[in-house]
Parts: sequence; structure tokens; C-alpha cells
Amino acid sequence: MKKFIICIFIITILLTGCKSNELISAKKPVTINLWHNYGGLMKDTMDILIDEFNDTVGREEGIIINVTSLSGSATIAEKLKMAVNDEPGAPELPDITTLYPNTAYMLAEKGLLVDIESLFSKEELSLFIPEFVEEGRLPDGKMYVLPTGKSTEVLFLNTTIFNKFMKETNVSYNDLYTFKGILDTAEKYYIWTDNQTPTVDNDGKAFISYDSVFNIAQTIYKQSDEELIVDGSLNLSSDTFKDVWRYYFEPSVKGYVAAYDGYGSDLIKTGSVVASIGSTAGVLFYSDIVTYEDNITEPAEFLILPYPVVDGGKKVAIQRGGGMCIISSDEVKEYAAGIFLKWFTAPEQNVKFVSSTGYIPVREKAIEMTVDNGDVDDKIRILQKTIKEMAEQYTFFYTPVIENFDELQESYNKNMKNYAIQCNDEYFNFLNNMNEADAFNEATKNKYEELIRQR
Amino acid sequence: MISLAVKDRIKYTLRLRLFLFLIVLVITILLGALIILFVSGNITAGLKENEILIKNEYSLILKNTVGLYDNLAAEAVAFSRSISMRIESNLREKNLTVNDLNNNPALLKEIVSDELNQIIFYLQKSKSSGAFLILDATSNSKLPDSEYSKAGIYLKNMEPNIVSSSSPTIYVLRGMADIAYKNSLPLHPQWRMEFNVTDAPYYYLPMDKGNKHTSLSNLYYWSEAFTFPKTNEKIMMCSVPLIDIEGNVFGVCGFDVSYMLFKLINMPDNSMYERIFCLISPVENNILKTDGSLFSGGYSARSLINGNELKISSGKKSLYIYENNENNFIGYHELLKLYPENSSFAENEWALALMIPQDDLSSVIVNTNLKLIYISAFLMMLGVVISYILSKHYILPISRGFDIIKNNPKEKIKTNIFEIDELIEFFSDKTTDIEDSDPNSIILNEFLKNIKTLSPSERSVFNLYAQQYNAKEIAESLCLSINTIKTHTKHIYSKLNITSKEELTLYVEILKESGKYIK
Repeated sequence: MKKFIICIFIITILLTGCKSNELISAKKPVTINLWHNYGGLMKDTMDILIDEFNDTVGREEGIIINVTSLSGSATIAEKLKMAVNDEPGAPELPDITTLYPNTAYMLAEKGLLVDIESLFSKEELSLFIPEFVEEGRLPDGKMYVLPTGKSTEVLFLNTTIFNKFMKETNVSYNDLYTFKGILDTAEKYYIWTDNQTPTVDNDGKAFISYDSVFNIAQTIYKQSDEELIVDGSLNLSSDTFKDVWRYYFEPSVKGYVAAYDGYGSDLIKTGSVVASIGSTAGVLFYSDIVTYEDNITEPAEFLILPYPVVDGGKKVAIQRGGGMCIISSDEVKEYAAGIFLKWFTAPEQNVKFVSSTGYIPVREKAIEMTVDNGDVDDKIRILQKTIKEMAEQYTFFYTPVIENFDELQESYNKNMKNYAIQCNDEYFNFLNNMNEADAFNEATKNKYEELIRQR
Repeated sequence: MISLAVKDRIKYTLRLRLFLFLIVLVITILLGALIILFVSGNITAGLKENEILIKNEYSLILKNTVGLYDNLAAEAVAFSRSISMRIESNLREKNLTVNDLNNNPALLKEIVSDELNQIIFYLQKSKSSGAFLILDATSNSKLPDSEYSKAGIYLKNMEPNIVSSSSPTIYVLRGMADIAYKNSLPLHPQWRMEFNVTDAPYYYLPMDKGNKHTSLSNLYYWSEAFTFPKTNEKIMMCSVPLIDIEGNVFGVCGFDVSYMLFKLINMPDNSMYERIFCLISPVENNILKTDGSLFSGGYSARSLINGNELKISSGKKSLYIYENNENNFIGYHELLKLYPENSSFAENEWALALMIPQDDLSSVIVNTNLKLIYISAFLMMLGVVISYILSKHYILPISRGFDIIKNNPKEKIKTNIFEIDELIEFFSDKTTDIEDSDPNSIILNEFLKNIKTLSPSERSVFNLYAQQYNAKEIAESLCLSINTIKTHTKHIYSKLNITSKEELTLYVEILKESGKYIK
């Protein structure tokens, strides 16, 4: 009788398979919806990597990664908020999404994120660059954001235009390593471009555009050994804010710096500015050609310089770039998402990812691995050199994780840029009847105080 | 499991016969059940089942596709009608005509800017992945190849699948940068100022066919899928001519369906077939022109059709076979009615196809059949094992009955099985009758009867004699004097009618051999 029972048991196991206890299987694949913000040319890299995963590990394990949304990080954050609050028309929450720690904080507080440490062992996490991992640890002590690629900010320069300008004026690349040098260069560039059309007054062009005036302020404060955010609010009464004012607001009103609520890479496409301070992640948004208003185009070459420093300040730059978060769902999906993220952040994939984007690798080994430069865009190669230079000379900081960080950032960016745009308009109107100094004073009267009061 | 010795033992036995009968019964029941299930259609392990699954999936995809394409065509016609009237009216107010747009960047900017909100409205209303307006004008005709450069605007909705009016992710792919700057719209990474229409049927064909006598519903054109110049994603465009009141065609407008939009709307369910995919494809001479098609399906399937035309031929059942140089597929398609009957482009044939690599389908069928075979084999084995056990247990009381009859033919032991008890009783009675008529048995029975007359002490002594003890050993064993033993022995001999110990031992041996127990 015993032999009979054992026999039946063995047959049953053979017929039903031995994998019944596994969470996923190739026979019943689970689909993981992914939202990411790697748009433009980075999308191709993501598509290729996702294809590779689905065709290899995904097929073996029974995991299909499906991209259901591709948009900017701010849009993703907004859509996640909509989904969390169950607003009309809100999309369904994905299983994995790219997020910044501050947005992740909002989701984590509602218990919607999976603790990465529940899916990654300590040994696995120790293979990442520790500072990058720690940035994903939120105030409750749990790690919700897995770094996939980090970025910093640099100065992109269209050398095709700048070289022409340099030939005719007393400026050099060295001037662009400090905020003061940039300010002087911007003034000279405005005058130089204004002089190109002797018959039209005050039609000079802005030299540079700043993508995030909030990051400029944060970095200038850090370079001056101060904090912009103190006790959850902006520390604008500090003298350091006068530097921020001097390097951004005043030149924006005068037209030396672009008073524009958008990305510098867009302005550079039309020759509206020559330089832009923005994220390394945006490197592929800089076009190889400049198209002027009359549809005449010319090729554009780029130089990428380290982040400028304030006079007497430390070489400090921001560390940006969120990472990927796993949205709480069920055990199977969370497990499958973990498998994808382990694969995606493995050195081989991490190198492929960063070598076609402007991101910094997050795995120690990935940094050591030689990037196959054959297929890498020229701008990325230049960028990698600059990042290496900055890594050796600069200290990087990351933004504090506080509940109202996004609100502070948004309101600061909005107010500062709107004030700059408004005062810039008024300044040029006043120039019709006043000299430059009077027009400036009139246009910016009480604005500094108003701005501080609004904080 | 069963040793050869055992097999030999049960050869031609009742048990073997019963076992074989039961096996025949199991096979008959199993076959009968399978025949009933096949005949009733509850089990189909062949192409028919797959045909039903493919067609069910196809009908869902067809519904989605027809809904998307019909809606876009209708919206494109409305879009064109609205934009044509607005631009014409705008120009009329300025005492200008469409011809004045050429070489006039400021006017082009103003005209296009005025239409921006309308374009965004239609882009969102249509739920397409892009909306465009192309004017038959350029901002600078002095440039080389300027005859192929056309002004206008092309907005891309990066997330057409997400319904949200609060923050649509709209990029400007073509158009004047100033318009984007002023409306806080980011430029697409592959932005260019004007459209290059060097090889652009989506522009020339509706322009050529456009006239004031033909309804716009008969003038919209669906382009084959292609990668828009300087971008990375395949799209299909639905374009409609812009016609003024006098019948002058001054541009086109319309929407696009991106690879991602098509994929999100038409992703086939791959739970049954891993590499299932669907295509919307132009058809010519029974060939699916996959170069001009949009694809939706698993990633691994995409590489199987890359750039290769698919020749259609009839397959088994109502399915079709699609062949390219490297792979064969099985699936189903129908011709799509993308245009009305009187359309200028009605001769363009499109098909929506859903297919699976032939190898995959074969392996699904084989797997299904294998599963059936495994289950049948399992049931068969189970039947054999149960037959074995049943036959063993059924025969067991009979075997015991035989043992009882053999060992104790006179005992009437009960087995609780009526027939066997009857048999045992019958043999017991027979044995008793035989014994009663045998002279040797009479002497032995007399001896046995006399044993029962022994006193307990004498019986103890007798038992020890029966075990080959001598008188001295018996005295020691029973702690009695040798004289007492001698006295008992004398009484025993007298009662049993024997004269010596040898005679007593002989009787005991005979009794043992005849299997008669000495109580």
C-alpha cells in the first residue's frame, strides 16, 4: 500500500510540475506596467533595454515589462498624485515608476511604495554607490527609491556661436567657470549682438538660460556654506540670496540672461541663447543644428563645462535624478518588479543606459567598465569627461526630503521666473524713455522686498 | 513491483483473471469517456480550438481598431473644415490670400499662432498621438530645396492613452519656435522649424485630390506607416486637404497614430500564445506590406517580421498562412474599410491581421495533445493499480478459506463471507466423516479420549513425557519425588492402555503427524 501511495505521489508531481510554489512562471507571465521619464533619444535606449529584458530574463521568468507612460518627471508626479487621489480621468497606478525622493515621500506616506530592501539583499545593495542609495532612503528610514542613473547640472555651450563672439571680444572659456565670469560674458554678449543690428536699439540676445532657478539658488547657498531651506521654509533673508538675485534676477531683467519659463535646450535650438545650465540628463535635447527665424540653419558644436562657482565659494554641485520605485500591488507583481530592477541596474545594463544618456552610473562596477565609445553620441562623450572632472573636484549634495519640498520648489521657480519675465518686459518698455539705470530701477522697484515677503 | 515468483504463482489464477477483466473494464470506460467528450466537443485538441481563440481575440482588436481609425478620420474631416474656414476668414480680414503667406514669416507665425488652441483642442478631442497643420507656404523660399519646405505646426501628444485635460504632455515637433516659447510648449528633441515634404504622400496626395466639388469625407488619406523624418517612431498619418471657398487647396491637416498608441490600443492577449501580434498593414496582390504597417505585440515577435513582406495564402479551417523569407505565421485578417466607397483613395487596401508564428501554434497543439495523453496515461495507470489492489483484496478471503480447509479441515471457522463459510463447513463435515470410518483414527481417537481422563497432575507429567523428558527430569521440573512420578506414570499407563514410555512417545508422534492437537 505504501509503495502504491509513493507511486501515485511521484506521478502526480511529474504531471503537475514541481514549480507550484514559485511566485511567477514562464507559462503564466505577469505584465509589469512601467512609467518613465526617459524621453526623446533616451526612449530608444529604454526601448532596447526593455526589449532585451523581455526577450531574455523576462521570457525565462515570465515577466513582461510594458511601458504605459512616457513623460517628464513633473508630469509623472502630477499623474501619480491624480491616481492616488482617485481624481476623475486619472490613470491607473503603474507597477514601477521613475520618481524623485520628494514625490516618493508623498506615495510612501500613503503606504503605496514597496521597501526596496524587502526585495534587494544587503549584499546586492552594497554593489551600488552608497551615496546614491542613501538618497533613496526616506525619513521613515526605509529605502523606496532605487537609483538607476544620477545626474548633475553642467553648463552647455554652443561653441559655434561662442567662438565667433570670442574672436571679436575679450572673452574666453575660462570666464564661464564662475557666476561672475558668466555675468560679465553675458553682458558683453548682449552688447555684441545688439551691435549686429546698428539700426535697431536694445535688441541684444541673452547669453545663457537657467533651467531651474531653484537649483541655482540651492547650489549658490551650498557653495557659500549655507542652506536655502531651513526648517521647511526658504531662507531668503540671508545675504547669500543677494548673490542669487545678482546672478539671475538682475541680468534677466536686462536681457543678459534669458527670462524664460522653459528649457534652455529649446532656446539654444534657435540661437536665442548660447549657453544653458541644466541637467546632464538633458544632454540629448541639445540639437546639433541651430535654426534661425528665417529657417536658415547652421551646425552647432557643444562644449560642456563644470557647474560655475560663486566668488570665494566651494566647488559644490547638485546631485539629481531620482530612481525607480515599486508601487505596492500584490506579492507576484512586486517580486517581478524586483527582478526587473535587479537586471536593469546590473553593471552591463547600467553601462548601456548611461552611455546613451547623460546619466552617471549607479553601480561601482559600471563606472569601472569601459564604455564602448563607438556608438556614443559626441555630446555624451564630452559630457562624460566633464562629469569625471567634476567627480574629482566637486562635492555633490542632494535635496532634502521634506513634505513641502515640491511646493517650495514650484512656487520659487514660478515666482522668480514670472517676476523676471514681467520686469524684463517693463525694463524694455522703460528704455524707450529712460536710460538703462533708471529703467532698471523703475522696473525692479521693490521687487526684491516683494519677493522675499512672498516666501 | 510484482516479483516474478509472485507472477508465476498468480498465473492462470482466479486473481489474474479478475485483474485482466478489471483492466478491460477500465480501458473501456476511459475510451468511452474520451469518445463522448470528443463527440460532444468538450475536448478539442486540434486547430479548431485555436481557430476559435484567434477569432475571438481578433474580433476584440478589430472593434478597437475600427473605433480608433473611424473616429480619427471623422475628427480629421471636422478639423480640416474648421481650420480651413478660420484661416480663410483670418486672411480675408487682413485683405490677404493664402498666396501672401509665402516668404512672410511674421504672417505665418500669426496665422499658425491663431490656430494653436484649435489644434490643441482637436488633438485632445481626437485622442490621437499628434495633430498637424501644413500650409503650402514657406518662410524663406530663397533657401535651397525650399519648394519641399512647408510651414505649419505639428504637435505631439506624448501620452495619448492617458485621459487628462489638466496637463497634456504636448511637444512641438515642427513649427516656429516662438509659438512654442510664447505658449510654454516644449520643443520636441527632434524639432525642426518646417516640414520637409520631399517624400511625403501624406502631403501631396490629399493636396492633389483636393477640390471644392468633392466632399472632405472622400478626401482624407491614410498614409502607410513610416518614420517621420528626423524622429525615431513609426506613425500613420490621416491627412485632409485645406480648401478655401473657391476650391484652392492651401495645405493639409490631420492626426497621426503613433506606434505606441496603436500598441496600447491593440495589444493582443498573449496568455495563450506568447508571440501573438497584430498588424494594420497595406495589402497589395495578396501581400501584407509590413514596411508600411503598424505592429502591436510581444517584443520577441517584432523581430520575426522586420521589414519582410508577408505573402497570404489560405490555411486550414478559416485561418490564413502568412509567409516571409524566414518565418511562417498562422492567423486571421480581414480587409479594413478605412475609406468610404466614393473616396479618392478607396482603391488603397488595408488589412488588420492577427497572427502567431506557425511553430508556436504547432507547439501549443502538441502541448495540448500531450497534456491529454498524460492525463489518459495517468488515469490508465491509476486504473491498473486499483484493479491490482481490488483483485488482491477480492481473492484474499478465498485464499484464506483454502488455507483453513487445508490446515484445519475439521474446524468450522467463520470468515463472514457466506459462500466461503459454506465451503469450509462442507469440507469440515466431509473430513469428520472420513476420519470416523478409518480404523487407525479410531485407535487415535480412543487414545485422545483417554488423555482427557488424566488428572491435572497426571496430565502435567504426560505433557513432559510427550516432550521427551525422562522421569528424573520430570521430578526436577515439577519439584516432586521420583516415587511420586513413578506412581503418576503407573496411573497414566493404566488409563491410556499402554505399557511403556516408548509406546506413549509413538502415540504422541502419530498424533502430531496427523495434525491432531493434544489439548
